Amino acid sequence: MDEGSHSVVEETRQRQLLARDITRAFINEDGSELVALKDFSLEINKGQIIALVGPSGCGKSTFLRLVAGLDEPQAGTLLYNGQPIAGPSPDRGFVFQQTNLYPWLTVANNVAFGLKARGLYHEQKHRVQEMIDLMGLSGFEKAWPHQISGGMASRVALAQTFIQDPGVILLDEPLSALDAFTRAIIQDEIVALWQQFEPIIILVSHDVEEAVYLADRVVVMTPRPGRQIADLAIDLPRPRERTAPDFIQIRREILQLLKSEER
Amino acid sequence: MSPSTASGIFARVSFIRPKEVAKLLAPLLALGLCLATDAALPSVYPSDYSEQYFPAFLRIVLLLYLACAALSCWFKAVRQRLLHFWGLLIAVFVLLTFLNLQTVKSGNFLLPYVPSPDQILGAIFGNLPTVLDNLGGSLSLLLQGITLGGVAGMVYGSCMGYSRFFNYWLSPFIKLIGPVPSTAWMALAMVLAPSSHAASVCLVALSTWFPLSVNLSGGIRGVNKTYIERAQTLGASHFFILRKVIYPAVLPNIFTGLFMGVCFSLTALVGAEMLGVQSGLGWYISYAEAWSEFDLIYSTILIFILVAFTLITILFKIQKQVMKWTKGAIQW
Ligand SMILES: Nc1ncnc2c1ncn2[C@@H]1O[C@H](COP(=O)(O)OP(=O)(O)O)[C@@H](O)[C@H]1O
Ligand SMILES: [Mg+2]
Repeated sequence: MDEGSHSVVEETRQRQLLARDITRAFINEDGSELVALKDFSLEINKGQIIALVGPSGCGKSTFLRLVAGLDEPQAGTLLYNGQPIAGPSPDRGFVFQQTNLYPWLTVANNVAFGLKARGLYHEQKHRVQEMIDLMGLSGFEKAWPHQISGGMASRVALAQTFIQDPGVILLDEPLSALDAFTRAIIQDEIVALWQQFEPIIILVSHDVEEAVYLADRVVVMTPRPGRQIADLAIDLPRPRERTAPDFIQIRREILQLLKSEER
Repeated sequence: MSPSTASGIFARVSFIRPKEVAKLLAPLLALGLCLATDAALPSVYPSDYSEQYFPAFLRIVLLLYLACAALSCWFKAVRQRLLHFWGLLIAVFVLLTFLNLQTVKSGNFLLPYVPSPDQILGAIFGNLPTVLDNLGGSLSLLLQGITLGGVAGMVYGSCMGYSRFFNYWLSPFIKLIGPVPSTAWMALAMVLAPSSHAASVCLVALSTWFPLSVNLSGGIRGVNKTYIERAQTLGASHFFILRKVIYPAVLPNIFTGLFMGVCFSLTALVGAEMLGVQSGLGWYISYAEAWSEFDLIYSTILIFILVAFTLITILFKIQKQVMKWTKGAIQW
């Protein structure tokens, strides 16, 4: 541990998730180095929704994988509740962009997957049905994933993760494959789930409107290697109005930041 | 029967369209042709020969078909089957008629090379105890070998697919041993194994082990990583992931491996029986060949066809049952 580690631990008393000067580089097949994240820092308070927006390839998914414990940074500090993140944990849920559901499990068994994996299923069986009802999936318990719509698949994936009641939930463009109408509905469902379970949510989105609609803070990133260029607090009350002047103003600001970065 | 049920049945019967009725009746015409030519035309074979099995066989087929046709009026599934197979059934009956006419009715196809359908049936039903004995021997050898090879293939393929260490040490062995035809090992197996039966079981097992291991290990290495990472973030242990993620994901590979394994095993079986154990269907064929008993050869091949078809059909039925979630993966 280095000199500054003591103060870092102090800070995480208030800040549940802390990333400081994270660097993650990949070695390409031709041997060249590709720096996905460089000196990336982020602090997240308990129960906040953070949206990460930035150009494609700037390391957003890489950051989520680090927080999930599916990958390790080469440099920097990554603490959750004051503890270094070491490996995946059910306390840090991850909804991927696709292939979240197991095709060989029914909807109900997909939702129950985590409980079964942790040996909690027999005690908490009733929670599976509660979650299914909450997500409007009643009647589809026995359906196979290939039989349900994309919107429903997203709901099952969210249910599969939220039923674990994790402290952190990582959403990597979870709604990008859906039509605008379904997306808007599920965005409201995400807010409702967040209000019920109160996790930290880190949302990666390429849709600035979605980011402003959902997040308490929008973090704008530079192109690769990804760094933070802006951290905007969205102090709009929920439910938010997409056509409100404030909303549009913030949206425009973010889009301009992204545009200025392109050059 | 109350009037309502009677009219209900009637309504369902009348629902069959005329075109369907024609399709249901057409195989009967072909079968009738077969029966009629067989009954009407005299045999050209030596006078001590008389037909025994073929007419009875045709009558049984006729009765079965009539029973199915009757059932098809009420059961849609039966009707769909018959309507699917009508063309093939006609082809079979026409071929039987042709073979019967060219052999026993005209002598155009010469004995002993091409026996009549009656003689082929006779080779089965006239020697039923011997045939059943050999069939039983073959099936037992085959099932023992496939079971042994199946278990070995699952373990070997899992180790190879799951662990880099095992893959390093196990894959060269399978790459060198696997592609060698099982019959090439025969001489060695006969010497090394405690009995010729054990040697044959091993050769059949080898033929199942090879394709199963290769398919399974390739499948395990190819499992979508997201499935595994998602399970890890949901709190699953390695063992849980193996059972609930990896094995379900590779079931298609397992069944492909088993399918190839059964096919290779049949080849190995015949080789082993001809050269090794001196019993079973493979041995029966080579025995028949030695005595130029062509009707025996034909009838044994017929039994082989039935055995192979049944085994593969059972395998696909199991696959369909086990992999309920697939829309219609492999058709058989
Ligand atoms: N496992 C990996 N191996 C090599 N390069 C990778 C790997 N994962 C990500 N990258 C590269 O890192 C960069 C950032 O990727 P990613 O985090 O997925 O970007 P995004 O912000 O679009 O989610 C990309 O250029 C990507 O090609
Ligand atoms: Mg991404």
